[in-house]
Amino acid sequence: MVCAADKATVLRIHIAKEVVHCSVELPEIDKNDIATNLKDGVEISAIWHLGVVKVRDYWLNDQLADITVSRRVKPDLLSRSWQLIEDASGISRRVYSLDQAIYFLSHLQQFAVVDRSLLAPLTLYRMHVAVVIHHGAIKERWLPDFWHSPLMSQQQDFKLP
Amino acid sequence: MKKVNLLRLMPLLLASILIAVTVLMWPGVDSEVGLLAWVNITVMLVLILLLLRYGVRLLRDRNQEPKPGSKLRARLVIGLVGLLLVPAMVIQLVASQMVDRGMDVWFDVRVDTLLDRALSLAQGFYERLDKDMKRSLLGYISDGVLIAAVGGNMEYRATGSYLSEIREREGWLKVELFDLNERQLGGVQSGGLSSLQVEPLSSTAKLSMQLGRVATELKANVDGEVAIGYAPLVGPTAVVGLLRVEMQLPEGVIQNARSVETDFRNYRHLEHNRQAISQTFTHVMLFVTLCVLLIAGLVALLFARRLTSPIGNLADALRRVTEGDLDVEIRDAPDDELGSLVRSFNKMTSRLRHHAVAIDQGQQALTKALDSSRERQFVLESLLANLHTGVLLVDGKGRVRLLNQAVVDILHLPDNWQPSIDLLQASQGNLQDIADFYSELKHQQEEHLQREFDISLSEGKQAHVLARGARLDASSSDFSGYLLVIDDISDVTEAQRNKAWAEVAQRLAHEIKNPLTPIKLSAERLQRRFRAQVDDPRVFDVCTQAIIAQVERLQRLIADFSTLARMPQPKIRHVVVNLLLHEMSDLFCSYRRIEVRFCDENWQCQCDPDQVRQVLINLMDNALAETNELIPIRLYTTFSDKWIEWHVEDDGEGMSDEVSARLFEAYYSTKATGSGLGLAIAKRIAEDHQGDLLLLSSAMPTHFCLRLPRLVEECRGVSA
Repeated sequence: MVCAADKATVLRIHIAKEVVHCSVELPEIDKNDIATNLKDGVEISAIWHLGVVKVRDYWLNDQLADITVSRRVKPDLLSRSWQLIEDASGISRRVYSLDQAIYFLSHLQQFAVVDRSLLAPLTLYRMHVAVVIHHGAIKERWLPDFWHSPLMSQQQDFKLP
Repeated sequence: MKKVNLLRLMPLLLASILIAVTVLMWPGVDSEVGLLAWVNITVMLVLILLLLRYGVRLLRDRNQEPKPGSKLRARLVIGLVGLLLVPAMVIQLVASQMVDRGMDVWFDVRVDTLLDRALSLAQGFYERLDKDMKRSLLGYISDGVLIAAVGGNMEYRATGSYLSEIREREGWLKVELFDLNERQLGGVQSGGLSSLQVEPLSSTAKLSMQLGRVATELKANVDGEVAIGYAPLVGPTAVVGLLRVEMQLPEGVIQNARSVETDFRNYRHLEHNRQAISQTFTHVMLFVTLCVLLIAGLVALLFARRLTSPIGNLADALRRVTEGDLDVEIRDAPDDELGSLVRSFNKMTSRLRHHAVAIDQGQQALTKALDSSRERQFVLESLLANLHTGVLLVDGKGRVRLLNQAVVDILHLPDNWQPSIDLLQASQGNLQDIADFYSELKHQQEEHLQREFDISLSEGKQAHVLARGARLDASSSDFSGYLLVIDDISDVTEAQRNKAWAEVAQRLAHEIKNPLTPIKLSAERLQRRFRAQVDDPRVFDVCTQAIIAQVERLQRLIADFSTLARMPQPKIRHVVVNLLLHEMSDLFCSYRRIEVRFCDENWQCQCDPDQVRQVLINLMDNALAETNELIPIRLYTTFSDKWIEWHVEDDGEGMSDEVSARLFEAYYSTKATGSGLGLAIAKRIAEDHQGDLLLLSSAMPTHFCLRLPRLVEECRGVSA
C-alpha cells in the first residue's frame, strides 16, 4: 500500500504486510556540484535521518523509530570508478558511472523504517526525513553538527488501515 | 538644549561599529566556518548589548552629575582599548590580505595543471595495465585447452600445468579457472596458493560471465594492489566457464600513483573549501582580536578602577565637604602619591572640623551677645519711643545718629530729619537755638550743659523747651558724640506763671479790695452830703462819679483776679443741651442778629451749666463787642459719640495772627476797659472740664469752639 502523496512530495510511504517502507528522493540536489566534487576526488556523503512518531494532540509526540542512514561515494580517480558504501551495513559496490553514484546518494528506495507490529491501526503516525550532504570525509566530532542545515526535510502522516 | 558630550556617545558609536561588523561577519546558510563564526557572533552580540546598555544609561543620565572619577575611568578604558584596537585591526587587515595572497599562490593555475597531468599519468598507467590485461585475456576466451578443461575433458593435473604455463607466460600472479556454476576447476599462484579457501566470484566476474565480455577490476590486499581480470570462456554456443587472473601491480608505481591521487584529491578538496579556509582564518583572527579586546578592556577597566577609585573617593569626599559634611574620612588609602593626597585630605578635613567647631562655638557666643544687644536695643528703642522727652544723639561729626518721636513732636521737625542728617545744617531758621545749644555744648569745657529757650513752631505756635546736653566720651564706649535731651516745658512754665499770677492777684485782691469799698462809700456820701454845698455841682458830680466808676472797675478787676486765682471746681451734672441754648436765646433775645440754632431735645452732656453759660456769654459778648450791628452771629452745637461742641461764629473782620496767637493769655486784651482775663478764664473752665476752647478760624468767620466731653467722669478716670 502506498500512501497518497502529491506531485511535489519526495517522501513516499509504503505500508507492506510486515514492515513500513519509505522511498525518498532529493530533487533539489545539485548534480553538477556533486559531479564536480566527485570528479575532483572529494568524497560525498548523504546522511539520511528517518523517524516515525505517534502524533499526540496535547503532549509531545511519541517517538517510535529513529534511524540514521549514511551513504557515501568514494571516488577512485586512478580507475575512474566510484565506490558506493553504505556505512550501516558495510556493503560497498564499485561503479563506473557517475550517474549511478549520484543516484545512490540522492535516492532511498524501499527503505524499511519500522515494523508494522509496532503500529496500531487507525492511529495517526508521522514519518519525517531529513538529509544532510557532507563534502569530504566525515570526521568524528565531539559536538553534534548543528550548523549544517538539512538539504531536505519533509514529513508525512499516515495511518495503518 | 544641553550639549551631549562625545564621550557619552562613544559606547553607542562602538556598538554601531560592532553591529556593522556583526552584519558583515554573519555566517551564510552554506557557510563552512561552523562553531567559531557563531562564537564570534555571540561575543560581538554580548559586547553590543553591554555597550548599548551602557550607552543608553549614559544618555539617560546626561543631565545628572557624573560619578566622581567616572570620566577619567572612561577615558582610560577608551584610551587603552583604542591603543590595542587600532593595531589589532591593522594586523587583521594585513593578515587577511596576506592569506588571500597566499591562497592565490597555493591555488595557482600551474599547480593545478601539474596535478592534473600527474593524475593523468597515473590514470594512463592504470589504463595501460587494464588494456594490456584485457588484450591478454581476449586471447584465452576461445582457448581450447581451457574450454576442454571446463568441459571436464582434461585432468586436474594437466589443467594445473596449463594454467601454470599461462601464468608464467603472462607474468600474472594468480590464474584460476571456474565453470558456469562458479566452481573452481583449477588454480595456480606464484609461490603457491595462499589459501585453500576459494574466493567467491565478485559481481564483476558474474557480469563478465553473463555478458561474455572481458572485465577487470582493482583490489587492494595486504600485499598491495592487484588488478583482477575476468575472461569468459566461450564454447561453440555459449559461455562455459571463466578465467580469473590476478596481476600484482608494481608497488612503487602504485604508491606514487596513489600518492598523486591523494594529493590531487586533497588539493581539490582544499580548493573547494578555499572560501571556507579564508573565512575560517578571518574568524580566527577576529576571535583573537575580540579576545584581546575583551582582555584589554577588562584589564583597562580594572586598572582604571584601581587608579580612579581613590580619585573618586576624593571627589566624593570633597563634594560632601562642599555640602557641609566635615565628618568625611577616606579610609582606604593606597601607598602612593594618591595615598599621600588622601592622607593630606584627611588632615585637612580634621582641621576644618576643629575650626568649624570653634567657629560654631564663637557663633553661638556671638548670637547670644547679639540677642542680648538686640534685647537692650529693643528696650532702649521702646524707652525712647515712649519717652515724652525728646532725645537726640549726635556723633562727633555733627550728624544725627538717633532721634526719637518725642523730639520730632516737640520741635515739629520736618520729614528730612532722619538719622545721618547734619544737625547744624538742618537746624536753620526757627531751630537755630538748637544749633546754638549744640555748638555751645561742643565748644565748652564742661561735660554738661542746660539751657531754656523759646522756639517758634509752625502755625504761629511757640514752645518753651528745656535743653540738656552731655558729651559722650569714647573712653567708655566705642561711640563719641553728644546727647541732647529736650523737654517741652511750655505747660509747666505756663502753670508756674499762672500760679504766680494767681498769687499776685490774690495778694492784690486782698490788699486792694478792702480799701475800695470805703472809697466808693465815701465818694457816694460826698456826693449825697456835699453836692449842694459845692459851687460847681457839675464838676463835683463828674469827679465823684469818676471815683465811683473807677472804684467799681477796680472791684470788677479784683473780682476777676479772685476768680482767676480761686477758680471753683466745676459741679458736674447732666444737662440738656437744648435747655442751655434756650437760656442763651432768652438772654440775647434783644439782639436780632444773633441766631441760636437749637438741637435735638435728647442731647445731653455732663458739665457745670453755670460755668458753661459763663463761657458762652463771654464768647457772645466778645462777638457783639467786636462786630457792628449788621454782622450776624450764630450759636449752635454739634454732637458726637465723645464730644459736645458749642460753636460761636460771626462774619466780622476777625483778628490778626498776632492777636489770635495771644488770645488766650491772661491779661491780654484789645479792649480799652477789658481785664484780659475773660478768655483765659473761659479756657481754664474748658480745661477743667477735660475739654478745650479752640479758635477754629480767626476771620470770615471768626469761629470759636468750646469742646467738652460728653462723659466727664470717664475722662477724669482716663486722665487719672
